[in-house]
Amino acid sequence: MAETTTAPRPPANFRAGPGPASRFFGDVLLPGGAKAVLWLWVGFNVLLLLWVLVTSLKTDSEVFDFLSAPSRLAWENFTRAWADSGFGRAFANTVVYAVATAATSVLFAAPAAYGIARSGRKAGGWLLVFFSLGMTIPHQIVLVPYVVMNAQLDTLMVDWVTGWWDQRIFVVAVSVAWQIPFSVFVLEGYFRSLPSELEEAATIDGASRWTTFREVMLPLAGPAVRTVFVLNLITAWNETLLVLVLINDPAKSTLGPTLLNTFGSLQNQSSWGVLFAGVAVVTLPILAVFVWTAGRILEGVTAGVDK
Amino acid sequence: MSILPSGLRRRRAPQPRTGAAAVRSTAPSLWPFVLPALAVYVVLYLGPALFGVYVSFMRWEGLGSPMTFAGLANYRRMLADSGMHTVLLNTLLLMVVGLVGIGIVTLIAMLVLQRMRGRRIVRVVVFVPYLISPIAIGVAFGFLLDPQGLLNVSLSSLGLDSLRQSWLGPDLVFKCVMAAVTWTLSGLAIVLLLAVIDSIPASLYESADLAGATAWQRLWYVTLPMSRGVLGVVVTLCLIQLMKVFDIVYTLTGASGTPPYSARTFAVEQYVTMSPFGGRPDFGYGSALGVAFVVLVTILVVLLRRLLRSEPVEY
Repeated sequence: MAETTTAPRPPANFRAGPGPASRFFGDVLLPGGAKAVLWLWVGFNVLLLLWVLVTSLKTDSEVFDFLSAPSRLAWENFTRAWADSGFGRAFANTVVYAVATAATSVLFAAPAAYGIARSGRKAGGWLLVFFSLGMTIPHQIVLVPYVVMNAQLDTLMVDWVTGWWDQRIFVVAVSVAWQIPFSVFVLEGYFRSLPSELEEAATIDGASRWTTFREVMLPLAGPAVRTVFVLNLITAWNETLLVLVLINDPAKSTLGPTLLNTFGSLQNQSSWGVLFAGVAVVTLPILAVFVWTAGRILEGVTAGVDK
Repeated sequence: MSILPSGLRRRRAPQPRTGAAAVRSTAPSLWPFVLPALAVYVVLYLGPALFGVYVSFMRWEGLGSPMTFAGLANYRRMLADSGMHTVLLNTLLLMVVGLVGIGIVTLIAMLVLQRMRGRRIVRVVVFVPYLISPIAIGVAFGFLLDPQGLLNVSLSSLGLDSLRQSWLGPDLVFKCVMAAVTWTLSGLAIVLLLAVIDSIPASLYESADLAGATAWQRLWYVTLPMSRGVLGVVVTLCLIQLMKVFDIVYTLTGASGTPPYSARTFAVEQYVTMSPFGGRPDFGYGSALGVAFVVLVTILVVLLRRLLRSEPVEY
């Protein structure tokens, strides 16, 4: 955006100094109401979270006594969820899946973003649009092809190549492909904003393109790379539909489908405490990551927009 | 070709003709940097998308059964299916109501959040639902809205028995889905817009204050015009999220069996067609749903871009 050059001109229909009635409305009533709404919203979010956490420590029979405190802390909900309902396995799977996906997508996207940022105007522009296209394709259209590819790949690898295959690898690969467009988009902007003097110095010192990227540019882009990594991690952590469609073995599933399954099968039983422990297991790690990286994620979310 | 909003398609600044040109002119050597990501993206995303279009013209009951050419049969079936009309209506309703709801909430936030005490806390807490798995949110809302759930029990204890509703019944459940989704996405919209608002020069607000503007006038004459450029991006992002709504419908409708038509979105309908719930999976039809969906979304995004197209504000 251009820098300030002239003082802003008030719009023609702008009337300074409104009458007392509309001043009361615009300066007291409206802002006051808006603040009340916002604080109510904040209160709702906090209370909802607290309610889930408290309920996860109630015994099954107490879960529906919503307005009472637990008589004792039922930590066994968590051990039961962890061991019996498969949340332990799912947790391990989700950690591996989310970290592998986020790391691999950054590994592919960072060099690509750098390459695009430093290539000519025409080629770079087209490549960026081509990648950005991926952000607008709804995932619905690729699900059927993925089911086919998943099965074919399984047969191919087991019968002809390695004699062994794990469908989770395909899920990671596909998730990486989903995350590349967004990652490239955000990182490209960041790389382009970096001054090229340092690169020139490195080039004059005889460093290769790749060395320059790895030793000079990547460290400089550290904050952006970390933000993209965390955002991809969160997206992968919450992914459900893809895993639901591609992974049939509950032992290989992630937290989302496991929670969904537990919820579905609980309609007949009544281990409600376990269900809420499951919700806590799904929710708390993400909250921890968010609190840990706090403002940086919010900055990162806006990095792709505010240019 | 691109349906991205203008904010997403960044204009490339003219390259300065300085020493940097020496670094930049070696473009071909940059291909090794781009190719791996390009290959993964094309092979695992764009390629399958094209294959999806191909399958949508086939009759196919899934792996192991023969695939035969069906022409437009899948698309005709979609148009003739009365359940599909509900699904389409639901999806559109969700998008419209979601966007309007998010818009109202965001407007409220933009009105005061800028100068409000505790704005950092508000910003973070409001954003949190967007981070949390929709399944977890769905389970929590399920217990909140259950006939014997927290909301109804609270209403009773307040003596408001007349307000008790069967929130998750077929009549109300989709409204609850819409409310939950709006609640989740508003945080995203607010965070995105506030970042842009923070970069509006303070001098504009100072002169507005000098002119005696009220909070509403500051919003209407300064904040909104100054953030128009990014509005398109935010609307598009929210729209993309609104179209994908899947998990929360599943959990709020009970997670066992199939959700009733009255609560199905496109994504849910497609999942139901592809999984062997009550009959055989139908991959051809599922793919046709996907293609129809892409076309619908493209039209919507292009229309929205027309609507929100704006000249950049000079200041």
